[in-house]
Amino acid sequence: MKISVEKLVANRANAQKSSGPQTRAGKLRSARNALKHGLGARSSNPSQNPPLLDHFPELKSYQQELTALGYPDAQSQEIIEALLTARQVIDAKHNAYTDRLNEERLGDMTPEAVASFVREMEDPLSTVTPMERARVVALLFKLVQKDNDLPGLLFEKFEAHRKLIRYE
Amino acid sequence: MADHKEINLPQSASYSNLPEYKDHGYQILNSYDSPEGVLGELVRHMADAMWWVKTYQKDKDHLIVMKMAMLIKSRSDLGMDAEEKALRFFDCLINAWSGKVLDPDDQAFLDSAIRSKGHNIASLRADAIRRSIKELEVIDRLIDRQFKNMRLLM
Repeated sequence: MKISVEKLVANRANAQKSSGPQTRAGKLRSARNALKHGLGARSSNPSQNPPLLDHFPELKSYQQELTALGYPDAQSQEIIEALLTARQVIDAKHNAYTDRLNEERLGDMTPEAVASFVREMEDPLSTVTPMERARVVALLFKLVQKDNDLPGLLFEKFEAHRKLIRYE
Repeated sequence: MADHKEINLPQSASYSNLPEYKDHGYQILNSYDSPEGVLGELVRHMADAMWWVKTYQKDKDHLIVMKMAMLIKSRSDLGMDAEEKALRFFDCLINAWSGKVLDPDDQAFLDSAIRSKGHNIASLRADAIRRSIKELEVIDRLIDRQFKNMRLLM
């Protein structure tokens, strides 16, 4: 079931009223909102990323294996780092390859239907000029088209992976 | 050595928890006698690259068929059932393309939809490919990248 334009606009309007997180925990959480995969922010030294290495304890044991095979410490560190990066890339790729929820999409509408919806939503006391209204209609219709371009929605996933190629 | 070695991928990667993905990983690991340690890690990375080649290829076909469906839809009037029609057309095409026998209703729906736009199935596919050439290039690049990864890991 797709969301109606009314609901979407109301959601976005309500979101505008938010004054953001109030608690310290909330602020810390929201500070990571824009973080997509963190691949670009990684330090070059894996020992400076202990929490990440803690997620993959087996990688630490690989270091012993490499040392036993005769790799110098620096080289085995490099290999571990490469394996860590590769795991993060795999993780990011899997996370990026998800479909958008139908609930987040707008229904298919003609430009006339969008225009009539915008007129209905207008405050009678507002002083919106026809030019301003036309801009809003054009913007909304663009969203409607984007949300109903099924091949485009499918391609979004490929596009997300294309952006990750440079980390592979 | 154990027949099944657990693939310790990150927990946040929900897609990688799919049973088919795990089975695919086990199969590849087993085909290499279930190596452990660094070697096992490299084999798992190779299995992941193979998984993506298959996924990209499948979704590339889906993209073309979806485009074919939308070409039919875009020329008809917008209505409440426009997407439903496009999706039914997509299902029929995917089934026809994979060699399944369509039931008479679906076959008639497919034939009339294609004919009504002055196409046959080959010309519709050609049109869809022509219109998606940029997207297909990106997908081919992604597939090529995975083959490169595999070559580097071998």
